[in-house]
Amino acid sequence: MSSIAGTDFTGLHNDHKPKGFMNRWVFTTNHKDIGTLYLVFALLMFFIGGAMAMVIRAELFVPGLQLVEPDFFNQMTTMHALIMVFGAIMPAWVGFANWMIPMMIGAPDMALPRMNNWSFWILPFAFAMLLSTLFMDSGGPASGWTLYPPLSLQTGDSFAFVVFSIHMMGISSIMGSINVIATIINMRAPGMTLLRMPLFVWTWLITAFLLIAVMPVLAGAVTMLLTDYFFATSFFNAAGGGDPVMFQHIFWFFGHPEVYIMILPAFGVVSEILPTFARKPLFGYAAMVYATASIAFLSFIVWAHHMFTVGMPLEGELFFMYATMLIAVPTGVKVFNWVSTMWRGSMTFETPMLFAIGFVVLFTIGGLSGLMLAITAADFQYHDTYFVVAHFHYVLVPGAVFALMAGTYYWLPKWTGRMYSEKWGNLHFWLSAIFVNVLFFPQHYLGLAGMPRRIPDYSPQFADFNMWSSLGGFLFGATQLIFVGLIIHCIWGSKLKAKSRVWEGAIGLEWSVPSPAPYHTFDTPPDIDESMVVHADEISH
Amino acid sequence: MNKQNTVIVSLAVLAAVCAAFWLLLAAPALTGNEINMPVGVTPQSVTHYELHMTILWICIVIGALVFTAMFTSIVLHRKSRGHQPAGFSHSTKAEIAWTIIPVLILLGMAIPATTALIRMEDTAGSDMTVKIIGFQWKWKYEYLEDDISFISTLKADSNAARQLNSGINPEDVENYLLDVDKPLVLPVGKKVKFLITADDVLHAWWVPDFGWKRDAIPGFINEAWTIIEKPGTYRGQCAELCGKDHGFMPIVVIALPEAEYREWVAGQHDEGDAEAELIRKDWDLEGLMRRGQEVYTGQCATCHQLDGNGLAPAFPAVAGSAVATGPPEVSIDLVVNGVEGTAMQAWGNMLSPVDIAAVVTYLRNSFGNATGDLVQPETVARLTGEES
Amino acid sequence: MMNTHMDSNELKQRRANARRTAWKLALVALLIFGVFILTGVIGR
Repeated sequence: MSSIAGTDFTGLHNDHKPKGFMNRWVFTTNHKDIGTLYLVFALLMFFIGGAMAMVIRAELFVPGLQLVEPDFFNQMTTMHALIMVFGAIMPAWVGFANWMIPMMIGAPDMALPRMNNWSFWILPFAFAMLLSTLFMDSGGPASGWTLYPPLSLQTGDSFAFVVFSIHMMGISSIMGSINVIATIINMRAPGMTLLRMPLFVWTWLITAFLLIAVMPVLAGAVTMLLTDYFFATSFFNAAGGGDPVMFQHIFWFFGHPEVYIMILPAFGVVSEILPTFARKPLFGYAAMVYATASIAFLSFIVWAHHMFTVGMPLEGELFFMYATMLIAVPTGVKVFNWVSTMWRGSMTFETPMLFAIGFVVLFTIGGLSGLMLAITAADFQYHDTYFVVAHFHYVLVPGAVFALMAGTYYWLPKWTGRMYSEKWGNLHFWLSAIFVNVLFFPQHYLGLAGMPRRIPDYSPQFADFNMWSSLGGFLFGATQLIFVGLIIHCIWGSKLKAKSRVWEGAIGLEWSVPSPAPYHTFDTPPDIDESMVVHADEISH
Repeated sequence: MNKQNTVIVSLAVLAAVCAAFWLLLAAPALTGNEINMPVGVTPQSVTHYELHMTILWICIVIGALVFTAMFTSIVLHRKSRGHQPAGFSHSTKAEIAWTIIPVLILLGMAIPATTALIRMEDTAGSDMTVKIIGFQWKWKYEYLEDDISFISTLKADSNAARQLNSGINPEDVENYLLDVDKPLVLPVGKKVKFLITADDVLHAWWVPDFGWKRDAIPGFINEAWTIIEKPGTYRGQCAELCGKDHGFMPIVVIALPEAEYREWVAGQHDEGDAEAELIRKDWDLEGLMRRGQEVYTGQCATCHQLDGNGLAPAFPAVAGSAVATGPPEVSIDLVVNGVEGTAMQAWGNMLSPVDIAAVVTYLRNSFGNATGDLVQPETVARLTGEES
Repeated sequence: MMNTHMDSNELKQRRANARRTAWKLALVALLIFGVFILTGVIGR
């Protein structure tokens, strides 16, 4: 039993771990171990998906085809997206949820520990199946992660494998989010009312509802593709009376909430980190919760802005344009609140804070280009160009991924009981921040100048900025090796022990347990007082 | 920290933020790549360019304000400067302000955005209509009033250079990847209505200088229009992923003054008459083989490869294939009607009977296939029911 | 470890509630799947 001076945790926590590798990792029902499994899996996928991005950027380094055939290039863009979305970012957030939600709300574990084990262990099989398609004669899927028919129906033997792996990922996500909701609704310690919960818990609660609402929609869409492919149902085949555009409507009804599934937990993490390092409470806690909920609601009525060019009726185009523009309002509230949280604080700039600030700045850029894309008539030019590629990479890489890194640095000492190297963490941040911009900013110019996305070769007028982008890409990719080195060093090499309250300004139940967090925390619910909750001003009696 | 200090620092930060934004805006010009969204040559392209610039500037101003506040705070409110944290955690007034003000900005933006959209969707009152059909990986254009139709594919020199490790430097190819064998020709100053559809998978027809793109969807017809205000050559590309050669189906439009355009139309009609004559003619093997090779190189080699060995498993070999060496009717049928569910298209409505006869003859007598028979255009015309 | 006994009933109750929540949510997910397949059948 690890403990910290002056605190008696007997009864609250214990550190009894199961014996043996299989018992500890394969059969585990412990939220912390499952969280670790998710995070390690996500990191592995991040590098596999990243390797595919390297192939893409290498082929686009100069005009002409030097490395891969166009069909393989399309397989790379498709798999890169599927792996990053479903294999890296989403599981990483579920890993954070597993580790942190029980500790943040004073619960002994997730509500349904055995299902939790299942939720994770489906994933390696799903992705083994997805990746195996690359080694099939027909090659992997090459129709883009959106799997638009009729093109996706031209996929070879790998098609069924892709669809089934998406089904498995969907089941895993749905089970994971059911667990999150059941945990947050039923397992909060007495006194942890909904409006005292940390923002990260709030954003995940809303994310989990989004997941349950839309993963079945994706499952439905790919199931219909499957029956079109094998059983001649022609849901989407115009020749058989179907409608290829209907797939796009269904897909994006899933797809738009999906992008918020990836970014809302990021909002949560940043809302934890900024107050800690500004030593000042989060500005507008309640507004942040309502803004998150509004964004989630709006995500259901904007899907068709992904398909402005399919030829919708004017009324439809106007509706989706207005609804999309409206998202800028709650998103703006969030950004303004983060800046106000920093304003007149007493800031220090440890690595988590650097990544959080990087997130706010670069996510704002991605958000503003999103506002531009909302203008339907202008989107007739932007649509399906590198401008769009730049936009969604700005919100996903220096957005979601930076928040994941910020969260990792923030809680790593809590997980491992040791401090990471601040010097190398700083270096990781600065190199990432510079190269991610070298990688993605020139893509704005390329898109405006007329370079379509998903092309393996381009006219020489686009050569300069593609070379910049590729260079940035290689260096950004290499920089992430520092991240792996840092984590390994922190777990096994670091001599610096972490305190239970790792950061001076940190507030929340997770900081009341020792570092590393014992194997079982809050076996009995903690007594919650004002000093332990982020939204203390609501607690006045 | 006193007020005056805050003002001075925030002005300095604002200057720095503006300098950074200027650098980002000027980067294309500074690196010798003067590129932005083209102003273009149609009413829509001008409107869309103006919309783009307006919203861009709004975003720049918002961004500058947010970043100025943020970096001012980062400069001033640090623990290392001994700044003590304030205790405030909300301000109803501020929060209402930054909800209402963005709404007002958005309302202001919605007005020009709406009018532009209404104009874009008004396809009424056109002078002529062109039907655009997307195929894997080429465009077919049909002039509905003038009864002209042809296929437009990537030009041969680009096509040679874009092969994997072709050894040809793309810089040496004129208009690399943006040139076609037969461009779409349109008159200047006329309202041209486009009917856009596709035969196999989704495509999108996009010429940046015209200011819009529209998806080509099998089974559906999308409408769009343009009035080209300046004669010239305008280039674009397919903008919706459509399979392996998505990056290699460019669009070229030549806009001609009315009189020259009329001349071009007349020239096309003469060619059409000559083509009808060719169908009736009795061809010899050599003539068919020569024409067949041209057609094969232009249309078939992308998938079946120049050596006829195909690309397993999606694209079967022609060399030694049962279809190419079996009865000629089977070969003709396969080329004319295609194979459903594969990339093999129904070429009957894309190629002339002469071309089909030539290419069938060619592939029955090349790559080691030696049937020795020749297929006459009349036979094909009879089978496809087309009047010669 | 001793204190856990005191709350074990309460914990059991909460886990039972959680299971009920989970079944309801699973049903919702299944329902949404069905509705969208139906959309496909009607919408085509």
